Amino acid sequence: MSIISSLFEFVRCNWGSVASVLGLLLSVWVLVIAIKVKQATQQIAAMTRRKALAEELTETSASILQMGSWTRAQKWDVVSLKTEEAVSHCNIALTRWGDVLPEDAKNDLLTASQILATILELATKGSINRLSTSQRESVSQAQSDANTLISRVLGHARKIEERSS
Amino acid sequence: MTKEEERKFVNHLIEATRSGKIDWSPTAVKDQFAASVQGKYIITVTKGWEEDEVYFELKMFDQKKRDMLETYQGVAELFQVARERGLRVDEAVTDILENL
Repeated sequence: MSIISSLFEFVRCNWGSVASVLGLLLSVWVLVIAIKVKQATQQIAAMTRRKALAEELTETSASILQMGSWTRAQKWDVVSLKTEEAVSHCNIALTRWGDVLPEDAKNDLLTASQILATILELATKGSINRLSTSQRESVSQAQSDANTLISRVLGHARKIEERSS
Repeated sequence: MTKEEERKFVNHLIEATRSGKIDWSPTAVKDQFAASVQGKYIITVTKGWEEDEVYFELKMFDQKKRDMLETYQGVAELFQVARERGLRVDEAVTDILENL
């Protein structure tokens, strides 16, 4: 009882100092919470960005697969359109996530977009003149090669995503 | 760029391909292979024909596909190593030797 009463006495006589210490502790606590919130927000933003990269690459892959169906049907206008779509996805991925991707993945993306550019060239020719069997086979093979490269980049993107989650 | 510098550049690419630092892929164009380096540059090597004569051409582009370099100096050898790498000839030969 005497301890409590002496404590009250101490607080009553030094209320200013006690309030200052409590205020300081409160400020430190608020600062720690703010830092944690900031870190969590940054982590969520980075995760969302990486997820978006994986989505962009999945769309690229989907466009290439659709190109395959249209190539078999020899609908070159649609092949051109789908190729342009895939090239655009590759460019977006390179521009927006170039800083996240390792050099190997960026090389794969660039090579894939170059392969797609050559497909576009042939598809444009195909919508004017009939393509030979070997040219059609080259287009199909190139689509498959481009898709392999995109899948490799997608693998990188998923790994980055998993590491950060 | 002088022809000597172009030749040196092509030789460097040949060595880098042989040591597995550059990965070539076939494109939709017949006898053409493409590779990218440093995540910034695209290189293509093409074997073509003009008036019954074969030629080998190297082109380099930046990320925006702008032409940066075009050369014919020593590209025949680069085309050969790029083709072997692009078609995974070594792997196929090893596979056959090990399994046939």
